[in-house]
Amino acid sequence: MFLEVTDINKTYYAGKVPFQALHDITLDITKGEFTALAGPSGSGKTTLLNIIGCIDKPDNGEVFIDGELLTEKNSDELAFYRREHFGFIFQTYNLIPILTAFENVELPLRILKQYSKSQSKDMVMQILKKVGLEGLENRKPLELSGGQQQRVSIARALVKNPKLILADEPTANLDLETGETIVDLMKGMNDEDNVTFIFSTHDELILKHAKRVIRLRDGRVIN
Amino acid sequence: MKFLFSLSLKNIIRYKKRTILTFLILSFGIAFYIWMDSFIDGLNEQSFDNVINFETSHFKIQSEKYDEDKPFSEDNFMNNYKEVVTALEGTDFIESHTTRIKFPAELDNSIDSTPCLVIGIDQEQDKKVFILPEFIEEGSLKPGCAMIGKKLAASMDVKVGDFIYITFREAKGMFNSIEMEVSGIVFSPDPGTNNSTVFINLSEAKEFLNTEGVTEIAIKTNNRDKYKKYKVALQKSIPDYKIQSWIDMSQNFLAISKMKKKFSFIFVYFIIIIALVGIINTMLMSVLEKKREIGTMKALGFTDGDILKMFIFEGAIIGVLGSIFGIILSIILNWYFVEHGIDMTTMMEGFGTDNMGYKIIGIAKSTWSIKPMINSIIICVIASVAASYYPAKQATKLQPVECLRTIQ
Repeated sequence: MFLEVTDINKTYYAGKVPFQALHDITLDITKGEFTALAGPSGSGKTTLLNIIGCIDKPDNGEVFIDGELLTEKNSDELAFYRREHFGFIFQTYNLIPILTAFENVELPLRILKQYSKSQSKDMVMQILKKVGLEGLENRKPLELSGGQQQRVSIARALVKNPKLILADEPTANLDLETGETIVDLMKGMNDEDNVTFIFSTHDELILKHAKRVIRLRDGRVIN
Repeated sequence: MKFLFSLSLKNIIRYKKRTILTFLILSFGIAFYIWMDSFIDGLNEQSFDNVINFETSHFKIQSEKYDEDKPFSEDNFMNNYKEVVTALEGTDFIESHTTRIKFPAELDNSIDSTPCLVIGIDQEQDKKVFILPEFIEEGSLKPGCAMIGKKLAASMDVKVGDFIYITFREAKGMFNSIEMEVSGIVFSPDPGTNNSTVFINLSEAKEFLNTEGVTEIAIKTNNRDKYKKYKVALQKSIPDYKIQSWIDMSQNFLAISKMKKKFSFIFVYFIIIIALVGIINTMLMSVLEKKREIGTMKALGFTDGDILKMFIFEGAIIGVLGSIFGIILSIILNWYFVEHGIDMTTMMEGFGTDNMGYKIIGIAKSTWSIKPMINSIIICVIASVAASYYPAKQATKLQPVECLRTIQ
C-alpha cells in the first residue's frame, strides 16, 4: 500500500473549547490514485490533508507512506521529507509574491539542491509549458489571473516529480469553467505521469472528475 | 545559502519605504560617528603637528631634575648641554637639534602686565628643528629685541617698534627686569606661541638669566612615529636626562580627545539603539506580514534553520546597506571638513587659552580615517543580525499549519 492512515484523531481548541476535527480516520490509498476528499465545510478535509502532508500533527494515530512511519519524525526530518516527496496545491495558491512564475516553480528545486541551474531551468520551462503558461514565466503572481496562478501552483507542486500531491480545495477560488480546466489538468498529469493526487473539494461538479471519492462528515469517513 | 540570501534581498526590496527608513536612521548614526571620529582625529593630528613644529619637536631633553613648578631652579638648567649634544652626534635617526631656554616672565607695556613664556632661541639652529620663521607676520627677531605672538601683542596693544618690559627671575633667584623693543610679530597655528610667547635670542636669554646652561634640547628625528624605539635608544645614550617624546607631551589633549570620542560614541550608540529598535520592529512586522509565506515555505520543505537564516540575512543586509550608505554620507560630510575645515577661532577663544585642550588656532580640519569605517560596518552588521535574531526565531516557532490558516 502506498499511503496508510490509521486511527487518526485530531482535536482543536477554540480558547478552552475543544473541537474534534477528525475521529478515528483510517484509510488506504494506492499509488497513482486520483482521490477526492469530499464533504461540507468543517468536515475535516483540510485537517486530514494537512496531517497526510505532515504540516500538522495528529493527536494519535499513524501515517505511513511506502511503509515509512511519518508521524514519528521530528520537525526537520518532516521538512526534508516534504521537500523531497510532497507537492502542495493550495486553495489560495500561496505563491510567493516577490518571485516570478518561473521562480515560484523553481523554488522546490532550489531547496532540493539536486539539479544544476540549467537542469532546473529546463524542468521549470517544461512544466510551465505543460500547464499552459509558456510566455508568462516572468510575470509575478499579481500579474496573473486566478486560474493562471493556480496553474503556477500546480507546476510548483509537480516540478520535482513528487510521490504525492495534496491539493486543498484547488478550485474553490475559481469559476466553474476554470476549476474544471484545473482539475482536468491535474487528472491529465495523473494519467500521464502516474502521480498520486489527493484533493479536497465540496463542489459536486468537480467531484465527477475524481477516480475515487472519500466522503467525510463531522470528521468521520462515511463511505 | 545563496538562494536564501537572494530571497532575503528580494524581501527587503519588497518593502522599500520601510527598509529605506530603517537603514536611513542607521546610516545617519554611522555617518555622524565616522565624521565625529575623523574630525577628532583631525584635531589631534593638527595639534600634534603644532606641538612638534612649534613647541617640542620629536623629543625634548631636559635636566633629570627638571621641575616645571620651579622654573628658576638651577637644577632646571643643563650647563653641560654641549656634552649631551656631542653624545648624540652620529645617532643615525637624529636629523637636527637645537637648544632653547624657556622661562616664565611678566610682560609689561607700562600700562598693563600679563604673564608670558619667554623662549630664548638660536635662530640658525632653531629653524632646522622648528618652522617658526615661516609664521613671522611682521618684522623679525633682531639682536637685543623681542618677537611676540600676535594675540599677545594685540592683548597688550603692542606693535613692532614699541617697547616692552620683561620681568623675571635670574637662575640664581634674583628679580630682573629688562626693556626690549618689539622687532617682530609671529602668528602661528599653535595657540601657545600665539597667545603667550615672547621670543628672544638664546645668547641674550643666557645673559639675562646669568647662566651658561639651557633648559632643553629639542631633537628632530627622521620618523616621528618611531618615538617609542627612539626614546629607548636616546635613554641608552644619555641615561641621566629626562627625555620626553611628542606623544608624552601631548597627553593633555589626548586625554581630552579620548573623552570627546567617548561622548560622541554615547551619542552614536543612542542613535544605533534607535535604529536597532527600528530593525526589530521592521523584522517583526515582516514576520507577521509574511506568516502565510512562511507557512508555504515550510510546507514546501524549508527547515526552521532556512527560515532563521532568511530573516537574519534580511537584518544583515539592512546592516550592510545602512553602514555602506552611512560611509558614503560620512565621506561627503567629511570631504568638506577635510578640504575646507571649520574656523574654530571664535569657538576656541570662548574657551580662553585652554583651547579645549587642542593646540589649534583658526581652521580646524578633519582627516581621513579607515578605522571608524571598518568599525561601523562590523558594529552595524553584528548589531543588525542580533536585532533580527529575535523576530527570526519567532518565525521559526510558527507551525506551518497555523501560518497557512492566517488570513492576509
